[in-house]
Amino acid sequence: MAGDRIFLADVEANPKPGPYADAIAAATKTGAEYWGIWNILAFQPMASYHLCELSQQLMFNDAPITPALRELIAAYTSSLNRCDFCMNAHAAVASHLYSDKEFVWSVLHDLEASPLQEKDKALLRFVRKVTLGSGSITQQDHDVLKAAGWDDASIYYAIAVCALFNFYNRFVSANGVKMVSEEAFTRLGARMAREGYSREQPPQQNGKAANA
Amino acid sequence: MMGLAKSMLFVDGALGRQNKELISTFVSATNACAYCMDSHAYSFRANGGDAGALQAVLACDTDSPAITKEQRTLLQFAKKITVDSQAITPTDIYTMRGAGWTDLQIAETIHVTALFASFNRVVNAFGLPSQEMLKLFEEDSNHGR
Repeated sequence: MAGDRIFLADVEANPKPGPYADAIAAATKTGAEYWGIWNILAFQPMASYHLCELSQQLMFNDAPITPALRELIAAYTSSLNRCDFCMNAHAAVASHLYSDKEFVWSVLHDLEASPLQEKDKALLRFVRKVTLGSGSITQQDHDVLKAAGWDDASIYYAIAVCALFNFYNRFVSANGVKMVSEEAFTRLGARMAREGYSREQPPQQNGKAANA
Repeated sequence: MMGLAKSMLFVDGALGRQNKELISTFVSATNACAYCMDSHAYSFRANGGDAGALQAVLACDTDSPAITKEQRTLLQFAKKITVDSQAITPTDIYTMRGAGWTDLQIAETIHVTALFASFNRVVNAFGLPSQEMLKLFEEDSNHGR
């Protein structure tokens, strides 16, 4: 249904050729629910291409912290920013990767009371400060993480994932992306857990993209 | 990340470079990110931005008379995205349209503001200090006179 997924009707009504326009068309054809963020991503295909490649690198490819924990950081950051769409989407991805939905939601509801291991809790406490008060981060915050057993490369990923979702949360909330059903979050979250964030390069700017 | 910045920030788009740098500087000031405040203040001035408007933006003072009415609406929208994005409603979009901003400009404002939510946190969490670029710009322009 056009015009009711996001605030900016002109944006929603003008998808440009590329993987998100195709994905929306395919979902619309079968009547399947899809994530409203696709409407924003379809509007600026080259920016979206870079965004999704960045997301693939940070969230999905090999890294010193597991994809499951990175998805938990994404969902936790989204919960702090009260972005219900991103929180539910990445809770679904994390639930698939941990094979434990109850565990993931226990962390989102109350980090300290959750059964998450202490080392991971230290990382999420840091993520909380990066999200809510990054201007007051000092060396001491890094020292706490080192003492908990995290190396620099892991801290790099925690910062990058948290910062990425501070982008996504605002991008999604300010554009008015709507919630979908629990079934759709679970289905699309499982797809993301298996296949990642990358999509094909949009067709019209291949030459330029090679240099970007 | 640079590909993304190139495709969104370092292009004129519908907002124009000066407005994008106005937003970048203001959001960085709101997020207490000294490095980004400084480098984007430099870019704002280098793209013809007004010195008085810059002082207001660096002080997060959107009520300043140095800011135009249109800029004020733009910055108030950017502030709400920065500090309380989940509370944005269609009313905020109507307010932007009422001040003369097009939907494409509104879409770019959201994108740039959200980008700096990310960049500021990366820079702050890694602990990068200001490069004092604005000082260099003001010194250069004073010598030029």
